[in-house]
Amino acid sequence: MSVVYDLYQPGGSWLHRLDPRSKLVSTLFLCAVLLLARDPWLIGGLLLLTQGVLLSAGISRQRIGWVWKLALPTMLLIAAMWLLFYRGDGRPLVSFWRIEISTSNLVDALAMGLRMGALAFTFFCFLFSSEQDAIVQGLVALGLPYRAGLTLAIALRHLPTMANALRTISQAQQARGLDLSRGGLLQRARAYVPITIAMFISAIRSAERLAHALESRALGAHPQRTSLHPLRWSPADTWLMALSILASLGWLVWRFLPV
Amino acid sequence: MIAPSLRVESLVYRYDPTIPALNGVDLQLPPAAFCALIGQNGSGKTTLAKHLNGLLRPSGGRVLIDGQDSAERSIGELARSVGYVFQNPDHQIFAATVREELAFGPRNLGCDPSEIAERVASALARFDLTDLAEAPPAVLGYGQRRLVTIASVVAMRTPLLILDEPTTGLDWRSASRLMALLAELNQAGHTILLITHDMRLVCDWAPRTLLMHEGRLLADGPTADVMSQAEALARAQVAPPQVVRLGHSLRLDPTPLTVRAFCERLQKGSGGAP
Repeated sequence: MSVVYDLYQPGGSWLHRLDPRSKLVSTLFLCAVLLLARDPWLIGGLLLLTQGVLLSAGISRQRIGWVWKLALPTMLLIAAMWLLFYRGDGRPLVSFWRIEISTSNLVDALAMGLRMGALAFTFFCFLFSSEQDAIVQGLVALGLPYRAGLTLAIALRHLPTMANALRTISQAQQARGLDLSRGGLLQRARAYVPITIAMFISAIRSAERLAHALESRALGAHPQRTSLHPLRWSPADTWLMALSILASLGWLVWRFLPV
Repeated sequence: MIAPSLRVESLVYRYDPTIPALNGVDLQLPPAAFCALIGQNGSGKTTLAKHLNGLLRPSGGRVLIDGQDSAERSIGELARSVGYVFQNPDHQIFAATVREELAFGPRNLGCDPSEIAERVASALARFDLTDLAEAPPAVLGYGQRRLVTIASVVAMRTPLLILDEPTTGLDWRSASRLMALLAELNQAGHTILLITHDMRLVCDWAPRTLLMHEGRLLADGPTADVMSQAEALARAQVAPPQVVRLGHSLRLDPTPLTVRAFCERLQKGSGGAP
């Protein structure tokens, strides 16, 4: 399978068996650490940790590769932008035009690029191992209204579908002679207009069809919802929550509170 | 119009490294051929067709258009020779008016404004869309959107035209009219390759049929011959139209493909053993 059609990969691993609430809370705490950290070693370590988690949960290398394919260009772009446009401390190593690159620039650019990847993989640890129904139930259990939870879960579920639609639309316009490789930056950006508009039209039409399908299957007909597979909280969930909260708070105290 | 000759040699394509979507397809289409490409879902029909205009590049083998390897030409260059109508009109429509939608392809091909206007007017008239020329295509009904997308590719006047399920969502009258238009284009020298699951349409219009199964060409020949290969059709999970099956049951030879041909055959009262 070269194309990922659904983010969830069925399985019975330790990660799959965890309650979506504990996974979501742990994900959020890990993200908070990633957003506050500036040390590339720490961020890189957490990125490695996510790779270990995914592999130990039996998530296929192809899926992991798919995330890398999506995240890597953004990681490189962010790192390059940071390197070029952020004025760092210390003596510049390289200086040209209005751009100065110092050691702190390099460290920050590396941290920023790695952070993007680590954030993406942290969320994909949750999404690859949680069914859509479980995500909705988890979000509702954490206090989100059902419709909002369902909307969020559907939006996540449709990410790969939209990516596939984008590829098909791009092919359809190229088959009519649209050249995406010719000209300068502005001309290339303009060449994407037919793809972007067709993508919007297609997405709006899909959303409308999906809304009709949900309503025709009685969405919102009864305020009290039951669940075929109720969530089950296990001791492993308590351990995961405790570990991630304590580790995150411990790091925050160590990092930000004066000794 | 001189359509290009098309040759496919030992074509292999893999979406997944372990499973070939195309597994050694050999095919030759002479200029001005009219072919139907049939087979169950996932048999490789669309994958094969996307190789003909360079949207997919072979994992093995090659595609020759007028003797030139398609791998040496960009999609933009191939778009001059091969037009491709996608299955879903919403993957194509983006312009503010039907007229602009039809002008998109010819403009990309570098036609001058007067030629673009002539091509668009001709395609609008051909597809009965003149009254809708200034309408936004995105809000038209499904059948009309389908016609707009086909007209927008026909306006490019490519010698080879590939249509993926062109009659889906069209009523019988619109489908018949569309097929008559395609036959007209074929008479004018265009090569037509039709991907479809509608076997009645195949028997009514396509002189030649290609049957695909699991990434291979299982049968290739005159439609009547392919429709007579019961074992191959069963393997590919394709059922011929009822009139063809009735002809087979009555052992009519050659097999009549349409109701009209069947009736004519009965009236003649020869060649079969009912």
